[in-house]
Amino acid sequence: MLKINNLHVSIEGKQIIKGLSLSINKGEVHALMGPNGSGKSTLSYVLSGKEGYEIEEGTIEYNGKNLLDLEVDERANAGLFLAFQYPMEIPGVQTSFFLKTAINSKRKFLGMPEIDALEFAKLIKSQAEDLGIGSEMLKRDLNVNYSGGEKKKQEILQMSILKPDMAILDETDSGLDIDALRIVSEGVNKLRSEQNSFLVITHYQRLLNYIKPDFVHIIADGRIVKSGDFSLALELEEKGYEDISKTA
Amino acid sequence: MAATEQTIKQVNSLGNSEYKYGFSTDLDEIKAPKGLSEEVVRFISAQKNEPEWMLEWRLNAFKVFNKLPKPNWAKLNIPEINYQEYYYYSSPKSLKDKPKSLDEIDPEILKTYEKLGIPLKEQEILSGVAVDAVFDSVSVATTYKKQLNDLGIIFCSISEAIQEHPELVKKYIGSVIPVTDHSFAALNSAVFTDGSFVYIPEGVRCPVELSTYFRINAINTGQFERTLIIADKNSYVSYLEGCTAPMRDENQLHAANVELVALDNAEIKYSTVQNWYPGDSEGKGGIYNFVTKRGACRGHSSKISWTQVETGSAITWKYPSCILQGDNSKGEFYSVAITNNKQQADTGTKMIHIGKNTSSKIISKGISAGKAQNTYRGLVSINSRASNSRNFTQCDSLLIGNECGAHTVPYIESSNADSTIEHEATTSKINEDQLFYCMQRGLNSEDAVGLIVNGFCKEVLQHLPMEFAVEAQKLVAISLEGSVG
Amino acid sequence: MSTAVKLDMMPSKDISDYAEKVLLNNPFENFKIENYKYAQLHKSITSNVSLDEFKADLSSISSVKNIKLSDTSDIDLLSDLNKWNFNNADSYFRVNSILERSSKKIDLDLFREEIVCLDLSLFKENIHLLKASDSPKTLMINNSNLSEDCARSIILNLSENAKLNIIHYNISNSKSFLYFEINQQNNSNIKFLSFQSNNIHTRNEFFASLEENCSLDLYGLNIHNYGVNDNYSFIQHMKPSSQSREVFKSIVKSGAITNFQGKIYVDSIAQKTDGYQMSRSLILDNESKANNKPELEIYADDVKCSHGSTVSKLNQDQVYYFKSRGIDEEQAIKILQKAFLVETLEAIENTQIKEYSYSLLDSRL
Ligand SMILES: Nc1ncnc2c1ncn2[C@@H]1O[C@H](COP(=O)(O)OP(=O)(O)OP(=O)(O)O)[C@@H](O)[C@H]1O
Ligand SMILES: [Mg+2]
Repeated sequence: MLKINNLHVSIEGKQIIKGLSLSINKGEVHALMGPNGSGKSTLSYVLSGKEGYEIEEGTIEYNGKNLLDLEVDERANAGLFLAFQYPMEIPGVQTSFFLKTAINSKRKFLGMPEIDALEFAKLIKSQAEDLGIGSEMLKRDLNVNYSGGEKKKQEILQMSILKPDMAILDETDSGLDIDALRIVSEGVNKLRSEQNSFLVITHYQRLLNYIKPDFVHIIADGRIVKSGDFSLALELEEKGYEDISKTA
Repeated sequence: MAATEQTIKQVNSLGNSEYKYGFSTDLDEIKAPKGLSEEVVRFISAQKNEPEWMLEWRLNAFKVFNKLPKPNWAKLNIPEINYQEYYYYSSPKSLKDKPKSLDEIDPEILKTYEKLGIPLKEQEILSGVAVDAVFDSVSVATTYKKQLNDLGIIFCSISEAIQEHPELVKKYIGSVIPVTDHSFAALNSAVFTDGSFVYIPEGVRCPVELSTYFRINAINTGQFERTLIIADKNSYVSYLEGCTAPMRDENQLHAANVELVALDNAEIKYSTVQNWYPGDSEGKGGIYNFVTKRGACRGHSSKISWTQVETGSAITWKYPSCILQGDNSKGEFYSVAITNNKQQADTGTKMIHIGKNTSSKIISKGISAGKAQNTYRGLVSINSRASNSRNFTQCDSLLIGNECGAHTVPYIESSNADSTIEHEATTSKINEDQLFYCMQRGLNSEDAVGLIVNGFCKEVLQHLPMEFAVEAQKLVAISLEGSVG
Repeated sequence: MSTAVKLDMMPSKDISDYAEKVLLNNPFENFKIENYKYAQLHKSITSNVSLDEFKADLSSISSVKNIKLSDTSDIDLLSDLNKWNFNNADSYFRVNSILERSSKKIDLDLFREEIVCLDLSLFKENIHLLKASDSPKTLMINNSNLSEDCARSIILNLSENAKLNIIHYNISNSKSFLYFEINQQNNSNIKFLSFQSNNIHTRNEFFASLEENCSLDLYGLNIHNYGVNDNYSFIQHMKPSSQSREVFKSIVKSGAITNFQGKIYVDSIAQKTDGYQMSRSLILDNESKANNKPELEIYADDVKCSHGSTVSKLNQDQVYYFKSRGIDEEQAIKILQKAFLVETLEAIENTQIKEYSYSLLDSRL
């Protein structure tokens, strides 16, 4: 589904990703862990197509196509979703309106008619309820004055509604309380199937207890230094990055 | 630094709000005939043995001056100025033949500087500050000349530069502030008496802070300095200007022109602490300070930074500006303006964005107390070709008492879709909870105000070179004495 | 008389003479008054783009009382120019439009309907509106139907405790120069939105004087593809404890110019004033221009006054966020433009009018 090969990325002349390769197949959940500043968010931005990143070398293939040829919205409509580490505040745009616009964009892309109002209301009501997002929240401007945890839930709500094939969660667990962590994980697990894949970026093993990854990768200084199964996350929790990187 | 420490001591010893530099020196003087005329312009030029081109330049400026109306945009109440009431040139006689070393200087003058906190001798030995002191109209002495000479740095009076480096003066004088800019600029160009000249050659970082202390001494002397600073490619200089004037009843006219030119990659930092005599609490006396300061960032990636602490003068009219011509050039303006009693200030800056990727930052703190009026006036203009340019402006005013006024007049003009201007301004009174807190901890109200106001100004004061910052903090507190209670 | 005369030196009794004389000539040749700095009044602006024929159609709003000439009575004295802490000579329109014309008085309390509409194309006179009651009422002022150039004064007196909601639709291809004057007595409050789009040349002056405990919300919504759009406001706080809030939002493209000049004036006795002023502009291309001059003039110390002003393009990070959710760029830009402006529509209380205004905005994006 997603094939990253020998990726080199720089920002404003500074190399951040230095030869990273990673393959994710349909139905797999991969966890990506690594110290602050190692390039995790940078990778997720590059995958989603944010401007300002220079791809110096390497390829990214998505469903057999060259991902780098696609615009940001084309990637989104092709099923790639990024839950941001720092979700954007958008004053003046009501959350529910934004959700509707996003759904309709996808439907348009799929050649479907716009969602009808009732269906939409039902859809978000149930999804929001599952995530413990109150309806008054949906009337507020998108992410504006949301608490840190509320923003993260909002990202998951968008994911549940857009049902991506490939979801990248960038530290969605940071800032969540214990209950929210469980709820968010349930949201992810509900979407999980043979058909879709996840790249879960996190610092904590706790999230991975809920969302059992098939693979765990450790990134340091812009490249993957170690890969393994779930036990690698446990080992990491015990030893810390320093030791693990040494053994790598 | 010795100079600073002495100054601080003197400031500390001040038990009341009387102006500490209110003494004058008895000296024989050479004066131009009273009043303003072509003859006076010729007299000044002749006194200085100027070449013909300089005289022509002055005469032309005088013609322009006669045609231009007085600028009237400021929110100031300026009494009608009778230009014929002033002397336009005065020089202590003993300086007619310039001293070759400090020993030759009239001890009276040295004593005056000592009271000001600038003992030249000690300065030469102890401090890293080179002082080009202007006593009335003539540069008294320049220290550190040799060290600077070795680096190829020219730091001398403008009069000397006209003699010794005419090609540089000719090339740059009036190139940033055209003679025709406004009437004060024209007046200065016609009758300027002295000032500093700085040239930093390509690739040189000036190792010391260059500094000029100005002092207005003679009765009814209009003082017209002319300063020209040129930083050649890849060079750096930091320049300090401090001003004090003795107490006089008559208002004294001051109209300086300061021009800065930064070429490719060069940086000029210009700091001013101005505490000229503000007049007494009834508004009698005090300096009229009509200054034109402007810097041109001509080269790419050049930078000009203005920092000013304006606490003195009866009237301050001053807009240190940056013309950002070179691509990637930067302009900064950090200002504290304090007005108390019947002082008036109308000050701010202009940031003119012409080159691409230019950026500017304006931080202005205005404090108004007593019956004073304090106005920030600033222009940010982004040209349609100045793509990717940015400005950030923060303008805060503090009112102490309800007989004063604080005003904010920004002009924000953009014709470029890729550029961003952000402007914020607030006006509030001094925070009573903070005052209470300080006083509960045993500070008297004046110390408490000084402390809080210093906090309010911190963002600006921290841009001053160390040796100035402490003095400036004291000044901030002193200039607000008597404003509460 | 030369038109470059220094008005600020002139005693006010001479102003009427001046105004008369000036009318005979081209009034704004060399017009150097600071308050018209960006207004370009000396230029006869003609648009060389194809003008859009759009007009605000208020007929969809039901149960509206349309004010007719028969609802008005004559009135002599319009405004007390001397009560303003403003140099009369610095506003050509307020002096001139008051001196020039006869005036009609309209008492808003006489109408039963909640929505009252004043169509400026029906009146050649200046208008003096009164409101004394605190019953909810929305006044629509429409100058979308103008076919010729228009200069008018609209003066509004609110008695103690009175409340009024105003929406001004200014969507017309004519040139219009309007002077709004708002006099608020104690405890009165006003919400005022001026909705402006695609005028060839327009100047709106908003003068408001607030007594004790009043509130004034003044909003401007501007979206222009051509023309010069110039707004000036002067809000004076004359008594303690009042609140004024101004928000002007503008989007310009294709060579349009938008200007905002505004001043908050706080008298020395007007303690506890809360004044806020925000002007924000989005410039979508390099042919267009935005000029802002937000001013504070403050003589009381126990006040909270602030202003902010921004000029920029659309936030590219926000555009990216939309695209990352599959929304294409064109639509993202539309939504973000709308999001930028809608804050001002919140000033409208009547839901019918609010809905109409939203749809009006949609049609302009
Ligand atoms: N716009 C930028 N300009 C310069 N450096 C940047 C920029 N964005 C990111 N970086 C740098 O790139 C490096 C990688 O950043 P990134 O955000 O990808 O780290 P991360 O692995 O997500 O860290 P964290 O765990 O703290 O979220 C950091 O050193 C960061 O400072
Ligand atoms: Mg990160």
